[in-house]
Amino acid sequence: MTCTQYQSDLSNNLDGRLPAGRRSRLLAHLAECAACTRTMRELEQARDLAMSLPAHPVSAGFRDTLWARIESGEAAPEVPVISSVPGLQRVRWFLLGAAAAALLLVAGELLRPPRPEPTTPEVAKATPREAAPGVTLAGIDAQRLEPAALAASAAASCIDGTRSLQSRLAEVEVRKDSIDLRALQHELDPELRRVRASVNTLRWMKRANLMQPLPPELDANLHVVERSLEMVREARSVDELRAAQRNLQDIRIEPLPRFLFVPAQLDPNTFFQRLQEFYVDDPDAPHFLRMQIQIVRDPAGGEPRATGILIRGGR
Amino acid sequence: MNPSAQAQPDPLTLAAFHRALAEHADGLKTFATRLLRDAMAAEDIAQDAFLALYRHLHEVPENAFRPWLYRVARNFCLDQLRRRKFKLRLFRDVAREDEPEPVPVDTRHDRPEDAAHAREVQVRIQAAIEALPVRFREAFLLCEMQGLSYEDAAAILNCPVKTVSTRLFRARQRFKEALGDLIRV
Repeated sequence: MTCTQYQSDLSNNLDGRLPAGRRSRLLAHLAECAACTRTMRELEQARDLAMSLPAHPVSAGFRDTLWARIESGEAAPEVPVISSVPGLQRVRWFLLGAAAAALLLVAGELLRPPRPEPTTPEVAKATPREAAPGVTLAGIDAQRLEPAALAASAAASCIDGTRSLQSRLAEVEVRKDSIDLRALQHELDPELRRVRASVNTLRWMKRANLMQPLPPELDANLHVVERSLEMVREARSVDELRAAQRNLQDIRIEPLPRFLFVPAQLDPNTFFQRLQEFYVDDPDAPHFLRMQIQIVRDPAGGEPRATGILIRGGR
Repeated sequence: MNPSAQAQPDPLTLAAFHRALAEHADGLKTFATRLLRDAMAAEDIAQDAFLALYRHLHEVPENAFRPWLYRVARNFCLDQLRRRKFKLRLFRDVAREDEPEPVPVDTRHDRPEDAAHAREVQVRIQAAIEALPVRFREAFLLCEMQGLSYEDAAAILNCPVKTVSTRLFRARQRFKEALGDLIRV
């Protein structure tokens, strides 16, 4: 690749958007190319300049005026093109809506008086019926919801935190001559603690038999993460940091359960309320609030039908 | 609409709305100000965006509040810019549109000459941002200055993620070139 071809990678790299392979290639190129290194520094400085511009805070009366407008029942202005939410967001919202609709459908199905011959026997088997409206839906299984959400959160935290660490440590390659080891370790400390906490959570869940199914090689992977965290924290030289980075690169953490399966017979209101309560109480919530929800089809095949929803934790 | 006719949001959703107000109002106004070059209009737009969100609270998931607000604000801004352009065509003597928006007072400098220099630099930075074509400026403001992800910016700008990345790259190049003498490596 030529320097020109690396230019857009420099921009993506500023935002941490480069895949690991391309990032490694870019870092190797930067180690040899003074011109591109200079461009990278210029982009960083330009960013600092842009960020130095003071914000335009809203006026002191902004909230009061807004609430006065809300309380007076003022109609919101026409929102242009609001119905056409594009791309990924549209897909997410569609899936969210579809998941909620599917759940409502299933709930409606359950609350309907029993028919003599169900047309979808696989669903009938999975979801015991209750005749009267307003009864508690059978199989809510809410006690499993929070442990499962916790597992998804912890796994996402572990994966994201490990990736973030990998990425930070990769900078060591470029800045190895100018690195202040203690300052870097101090800077990384919150990230190390976060990953460590997620490793502890996953271990505890495994011991308490709360993680089903158990991901393959969980112990080995968690051990490598744990060991690498210690290496970063206790490193006395840049070489030791690089060794930790290599460890983290080798680790296979993808099989960890980023996914949380929620049974379809759960009442959607209860589900969202409980989930929100759970996440609101989670000090790391901002990392996990970005969830993707999708319908899971009956793995047994047959008529395509939602059997539950899947939530993916993490960024 | 009468408030009694509108379903009240549940406490959790209302709490999320309050959080969004606290976290995003300033950013939204800053974004609109830099897009429109008009702080007063930007404040109105930020407020209209929150009002719209309040009306659609039951439809918008909390994790989508931020991109939703920016998308609405951006649409309002583009609408205003279009109307301005139309007005400018009708009244060619309307010069206000080209006046730069004053930079907010930066109180971090004690000495008057430092403050004057800082102000001069800020005017240059602001001018460099305003000189960007709107499509580049939007990507720059959202990703570089407001810290939104490429995915959220793509949803706001109604374009593919790759396009956001390309526009941001072009914007950064132009911005860097415009401020060449302020950048010392």
